Amino acid sequence: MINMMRAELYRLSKSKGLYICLFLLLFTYGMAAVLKAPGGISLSAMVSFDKSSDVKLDINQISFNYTYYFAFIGLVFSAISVEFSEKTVKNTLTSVTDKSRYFIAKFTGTVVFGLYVYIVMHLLYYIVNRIVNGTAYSSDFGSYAAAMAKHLPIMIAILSIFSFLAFFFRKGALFNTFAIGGPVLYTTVALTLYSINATQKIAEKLLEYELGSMLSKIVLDSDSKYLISCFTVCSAVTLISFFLGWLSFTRRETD
Amino acid sequence: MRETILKTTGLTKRYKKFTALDSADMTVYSGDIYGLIGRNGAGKTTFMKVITDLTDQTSGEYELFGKKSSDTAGEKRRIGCLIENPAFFGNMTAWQNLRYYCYQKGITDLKQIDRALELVQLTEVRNKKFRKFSLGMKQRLGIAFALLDNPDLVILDEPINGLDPIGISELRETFLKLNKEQGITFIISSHILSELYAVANRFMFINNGKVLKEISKEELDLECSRCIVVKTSDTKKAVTVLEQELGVSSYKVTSSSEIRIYSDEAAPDIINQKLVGAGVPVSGIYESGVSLEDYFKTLIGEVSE
Repeated sequence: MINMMRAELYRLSKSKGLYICLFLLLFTYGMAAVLKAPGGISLSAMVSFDKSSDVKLDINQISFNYTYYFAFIGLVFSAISVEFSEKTVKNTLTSVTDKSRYFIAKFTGTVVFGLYVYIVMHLLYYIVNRIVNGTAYSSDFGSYAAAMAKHLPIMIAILSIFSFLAFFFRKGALFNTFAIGGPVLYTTVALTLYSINATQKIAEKLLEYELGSMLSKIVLDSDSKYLISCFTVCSAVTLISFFLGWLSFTRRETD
Repeated sequence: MRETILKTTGLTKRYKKFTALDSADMTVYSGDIYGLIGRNGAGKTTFMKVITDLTDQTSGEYELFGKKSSDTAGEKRRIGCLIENPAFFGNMTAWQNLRYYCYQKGITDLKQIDRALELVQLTEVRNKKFRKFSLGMKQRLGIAFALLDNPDLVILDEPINGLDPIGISELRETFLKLNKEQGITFIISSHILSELYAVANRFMFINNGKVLKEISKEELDLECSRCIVVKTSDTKKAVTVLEQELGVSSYKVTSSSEIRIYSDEAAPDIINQKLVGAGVPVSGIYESGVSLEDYFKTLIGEVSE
């Protein structure tokens, strides 16, 4: 499995798409540091930024981690979908390993690499923000690291869902459609249910665990009960995605 | 006795109601160059996909390097494959693509990449991106991938597709050389009989998913060579007459009612005269001899009927 992951790193290092993703991330976070204002992608729930609050710029920036959702689409596409679109998956399955090991290596490799990018980018941002804006806009490293760590289970869950989608759909276009459209679909369903009296409570729960809400609330609020429930949801999503992805890949024909 | 590399028993693959492979039985021995001959859609690729684990068989079993099909994962590194079209990453060069698979296979000796590229005459374009390759170059890279890491078994599906005549000839020499010098066993599929005939020492004819015949090159030569076919219900007596009265020594009793005579020692009319004279019931006597193509056509015809 280590060999497979090393191979993946080698291949990703040759992929232009990955560098574009990394550049966009750096650009977004660089802008936030230079303009002294948090920012990024927030599709479904706007994050409110109160300049008078005690929360400093770097932690507020973490609440904009929705940006990684889109960066991870690029990563999973490069790591998994391309193998199906280029049909290179058969090379590995015929001469290197079996389907189960292949799936585990790809799934784990994608999650590990995604988290690596996530952590490195945040550390980089912290250092740049500290140097550029000083302590007035920068938290102590412990608080920053804790806020960053709170998002790790969510990031793992996102990478897991994407890995499942990539193995399930196989075709890059379908994967992209569902991955990009997923949050919009989720919010649309939740808001539709909200407008119906009988399903309002379900809708409230759905909106509570909507990605944008989780990303900001988990960092900006200190409700431990919500934190635990978020981690539970993320763990369940990760496990289910792993199982369904494995089932879908190992039980179906490989073209 | 030679080691058995691959043995299949009743290997069957069905896609809903369509049977792509129907109870295939075959054995490949170490050092064989095993030719899989069949028309397009005959079941050659399905057969290869099953034994390389790309698809599961519906029923039947196969053993690879003495291990059951459910337990072959550990043997994968002993296999080199090119199934259907060669597939690589378009944004990477030939060398980088092979480097990627070296990482996967845990190959640390990178000279193997250059060696594989040299075997298929791709050294000069090692730094060219795969997406810029011609069809023939792509095919060569696929073969280089299959030959990486000195495999014990190389499985090639239509490897000469897209190659020019000189390229085909060069590859043929490469296969023969690797087989002879390194003892690599090959399973090669093709619908071009003459090309397979030039390299393989054993053949499997397949049509509509059914194995028609498994035959060695010597047997194939014998079946295709010019001969006189004698049809008789008493082959034992006929053989005595042929040997003692006509001095025929090169013949083969191919069934309970057929003898094939391969020598020019006697003409059909003389043979007929002698056999009838000795009281042997002759129901037919004729000259035969077919090209590989006609032989294959006859095989398919026999089954279709």
